[in-house]
Amino acid sequence: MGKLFLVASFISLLMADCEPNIENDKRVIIKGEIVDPQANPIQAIEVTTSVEEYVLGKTTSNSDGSFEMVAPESYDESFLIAINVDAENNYTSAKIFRDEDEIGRPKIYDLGAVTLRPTSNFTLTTTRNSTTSDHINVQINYLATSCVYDFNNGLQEDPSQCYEQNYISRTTNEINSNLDLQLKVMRDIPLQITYQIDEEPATTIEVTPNQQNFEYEIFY
Amino acid sequence: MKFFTKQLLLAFILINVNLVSGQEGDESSENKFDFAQDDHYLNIKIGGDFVQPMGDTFTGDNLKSSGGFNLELSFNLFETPILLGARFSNSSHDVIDQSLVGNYDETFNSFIGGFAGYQFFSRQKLRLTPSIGVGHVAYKQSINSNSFRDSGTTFWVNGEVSYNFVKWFALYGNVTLQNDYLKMDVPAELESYFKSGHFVRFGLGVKFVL
Repeated sequence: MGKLFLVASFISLLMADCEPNIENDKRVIIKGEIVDPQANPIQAIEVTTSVEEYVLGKTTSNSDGSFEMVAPESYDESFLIAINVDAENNYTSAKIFRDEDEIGRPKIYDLGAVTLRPTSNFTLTTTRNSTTSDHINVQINYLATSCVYDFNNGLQEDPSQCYEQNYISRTTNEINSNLDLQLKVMRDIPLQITYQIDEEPATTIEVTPNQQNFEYEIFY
Repeated sequence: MKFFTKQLLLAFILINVNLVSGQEGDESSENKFDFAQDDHYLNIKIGGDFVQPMGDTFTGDNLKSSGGFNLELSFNLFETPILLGARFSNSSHDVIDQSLVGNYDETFNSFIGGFAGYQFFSRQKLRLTPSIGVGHVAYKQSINSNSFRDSGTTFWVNGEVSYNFVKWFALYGNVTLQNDYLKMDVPAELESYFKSGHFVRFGLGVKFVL
């Protein structure tokens, strides 16, 4: 019984250390403005500040695109300001990490104007018309719909971490002879679709999703 | 002249009659206390409060009213009507707008401190006891069970009416003005909003005199 108690206490201590600390007697302001590439305001965009899974503050942008919230502070390295992450709307998202030189310094996180780009719900389907047991392999090369920033005395954009090149690849099989791929992609930005039917030469086409919902079908 | 003399004489007689009656009343009231002076060591008060946030700071602007708890221990100083004691009170308040304070639903306010008071009519059934106190206050809140607190110093002014059914048992009602001053580290534009909190507490409870 004594050993069991010691083990339980040790585990509890370990778990307590893993929880990020929320600072006592402290609040910060997070504010900025959400705009599109033409500098038009975007409203109803959710902005949160968090450490690990603990959401410290949450608000949405106003009709003029501005937002401001008061939140507790944490000096944990996982501190993050997330804009439009995991949202169902048709705009890109942004993640802002605090530079380690800034820990404990700012009382106001003024993000300034944060630009979100429009996105498209892209659906690619393949339909087999032939009676043979052909298989098709499809690869889509597209730009990611998120941008990562660094906060150091203001928002610092790192192009290498913004809208990175991504790809997704699928192949039909005996059970699934048709494909149905759904992606969130940048609107009005071309993406490349490369498909190959069995041993035939691969074909690459360029498609530009220019609507909120864009569908493309490949028949083989 | 004769008329005024009679009026003055009548007024003089009436005033003297009243003074004599008063003196007789004072002499007889010495024997008319409800309770005899005796030794007692401790007053214990337990009760509930209705707590109303006030002011244009984060309490009055962004917290809802709620119920609370109150516990006091006190003693009379050398059998005088002067009371010295300690008080513990708490209450839990829902947050109205989370974007003004942080992503939490409620805050738990508690304070503990010492007070001094004076009992008027200390040997009567009905007593009045004003008091003032100072202590430590904390507002505790949590996000997904990860808790943090805002703390500071509290000052309060209390007015109490109590009714002693018997020497050792009474009912009380009180009104407390609670003023909290917090040591918050906030941006300049939030200083006036977070540096203080104010409540008025309406309490009812029981008092035991041991």
